[in-house]
Amino acid sequence: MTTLVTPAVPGPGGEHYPRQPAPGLPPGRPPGMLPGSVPPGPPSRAPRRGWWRRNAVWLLLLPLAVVVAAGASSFRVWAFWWPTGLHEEVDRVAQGGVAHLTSEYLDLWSTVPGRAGTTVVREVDVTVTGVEQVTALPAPLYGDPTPIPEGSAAYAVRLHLAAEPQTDLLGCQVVLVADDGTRYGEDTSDALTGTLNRCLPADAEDSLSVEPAWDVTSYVLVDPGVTVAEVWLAFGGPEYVTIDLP
Amino acid sequence: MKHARNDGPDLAFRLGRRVVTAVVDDMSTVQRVGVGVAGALVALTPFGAWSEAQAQADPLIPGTAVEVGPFELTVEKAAVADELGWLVPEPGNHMLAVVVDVTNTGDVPEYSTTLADAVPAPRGVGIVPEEPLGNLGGDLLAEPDAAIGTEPEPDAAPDTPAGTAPADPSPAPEDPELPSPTVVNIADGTSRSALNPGVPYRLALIWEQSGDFAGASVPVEIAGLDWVEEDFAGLDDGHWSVGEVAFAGDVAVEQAREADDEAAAPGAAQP
Amino acid sequence: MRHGRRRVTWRGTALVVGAVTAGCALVTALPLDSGVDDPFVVEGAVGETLDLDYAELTVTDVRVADTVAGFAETALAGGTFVVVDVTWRATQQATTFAGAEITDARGRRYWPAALGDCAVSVSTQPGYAWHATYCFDVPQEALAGATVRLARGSQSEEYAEQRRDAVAVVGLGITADEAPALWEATETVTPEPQGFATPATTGEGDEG
Repeated sequence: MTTLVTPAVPGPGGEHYPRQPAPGLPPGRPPGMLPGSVPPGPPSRAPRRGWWRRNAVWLLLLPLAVVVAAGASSFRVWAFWWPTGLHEEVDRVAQGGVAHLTSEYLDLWSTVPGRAGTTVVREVDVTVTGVEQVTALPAPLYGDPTPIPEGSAAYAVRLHLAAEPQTDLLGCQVVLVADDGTRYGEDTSDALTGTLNRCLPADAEDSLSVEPAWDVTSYVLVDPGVTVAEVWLAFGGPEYVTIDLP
Repeated sequence: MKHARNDGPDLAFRLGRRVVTAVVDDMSTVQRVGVGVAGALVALTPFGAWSEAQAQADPLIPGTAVEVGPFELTVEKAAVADELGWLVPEPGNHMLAVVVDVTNTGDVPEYSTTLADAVPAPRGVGIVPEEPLGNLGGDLLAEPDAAIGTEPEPDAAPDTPAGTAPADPSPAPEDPELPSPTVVNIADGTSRSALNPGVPYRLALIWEQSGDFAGASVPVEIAGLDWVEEDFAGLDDGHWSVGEVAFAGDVAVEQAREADDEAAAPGAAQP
Repeated sequence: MRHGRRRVTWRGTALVVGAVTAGCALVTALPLDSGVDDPFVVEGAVGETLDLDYAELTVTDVRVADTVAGFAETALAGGTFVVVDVTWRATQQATTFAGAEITDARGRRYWPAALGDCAVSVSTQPGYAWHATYCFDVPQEALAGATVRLARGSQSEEYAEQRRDAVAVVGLGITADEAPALWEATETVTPEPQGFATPATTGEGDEG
């Protein structure tokens, strides 16, 4: 049987040829590792080294290999999990303070001249001016107001937003986070009032901001009796900002 | 510099040869022969060395049930119609429907696309080929340019030929890719994505056909479906793979509008 | 002539081959897969509200019909439709409930059909209860003793998305005695479109 890496014994009668590194070879790569490459070493009286010593290099490389293997097989984390979902808090303020949300995205279909196909940095300042429970929802642009479903409580979230005009606010999420971590209102459109974009007035034509600063009110259904602890603002993630409520 | 480029493969080859030589050197003749035979057997495996020799396709007789993978399938008839519900052909063309009775004899639902894959489009009867994807790709690539196009750009000129290239039809290949059929449930005109076990379905497999076709029959082929438990190449375990043609035969084409009425009117049958 | 190396011996070869074979046999024989990937099954009955950790689920009604009528299309069953009305209430975050499957007494599996207002996958958020209807086209022998399996993970690819996750299995309550009568009946059911669940749809005994 040939062991390609390190034969336990160099060969027949190996007992008479105790192992000794050939000159010019680094220690730890004894002759016989690649048989035929090195002439058999001369007889030597050097003491035989133990298995752990002979394989020291490989033993040292083993933890490194484990790390590399784990990294190679965890590509799904950054390929699928990280880009979809709210994972990175980029700013955190108390209610009344201005939270600054910076996020980067690849704009594929922008109608803004020169922006299509480029990576855009979106910067939005947000102030939560009020979070309160309401007993009725306002009427949407068309049709009658949606009644608040039985077994739910409706909250109005009032935001003051500031951003450079022509900032794309597509996919705006206004999330109420309860003290137990439950996230209410993650969807981007507001079905309760028929608003397509939670960050823009109901009559906005597209997802681009027009004014340098403006106010919006968003409505979110919440389980009755929960304590709303935080407001999150995001555009699909992974970045988001947190506004702590008193 | 030349050496630097060649270093990698060369080194690997030399190392590999050394390892092989080292092992072979130490073996007896019998061992060498044994290892050689084993290596040859392994090397032939990906090329289907152990697959059964393909038998001739069995005749396909309308009205007689055949087993294809998870399905028990009876080809009933073929029919042509001007349009079938929401399936409207190009002006001058018509729709060709092959009517089949299908039951999933397995224990789990099967996708109706699996069935569609097993029945390739009839050859040589003017089935309209699939839209070449070149045009679509061209549109996608042209899109950003179109958006930027409002401002004058020096690059615009070289872009133009590239943009028009897909519109220029390349010489049609001899054997164009024919589309998979659209599968419609005849009783109500709905499409079913999954066929549940034990439920009999009467389905129409529909293609768009050139208006020039006026034959009395179409050659229908049914490919075998083989269960792939472990897919070593594609990492797609547990699926039906389309094999060679297992059944082939001519199916008479009904020129009536009967099939049209049957398949086109959702809910027309008694409620 | 060999210098300073050992021969490939039959004994050594047998040792290596034997060790590899033994390892393979051990891995095959040991139940390594079972238990590790199993979903957490919550069993219940029609009308019961089940806690799935990520959602509260109530199967509110089970009907059998030959025809499912809807606004856009009307579907006729190849076998018969089992129409299952449910109420989902997400409890953690916005959730898509992609798993819906009927299993009959013999273990055969049936998937829902996206016909008319029948749902195949349902997306909701915490804060409200959401009503949806699933329609399964099944053969007669599937009726008696059937159960419906509902979860956020899809059942395709051998339940890959349901591994180590909560799954509800609800008995449909169809006995062998009732099955022939249900099969013969020619009912038409018009499923309610998805929407906020009202007390009428959350309460039990809503006869269609």
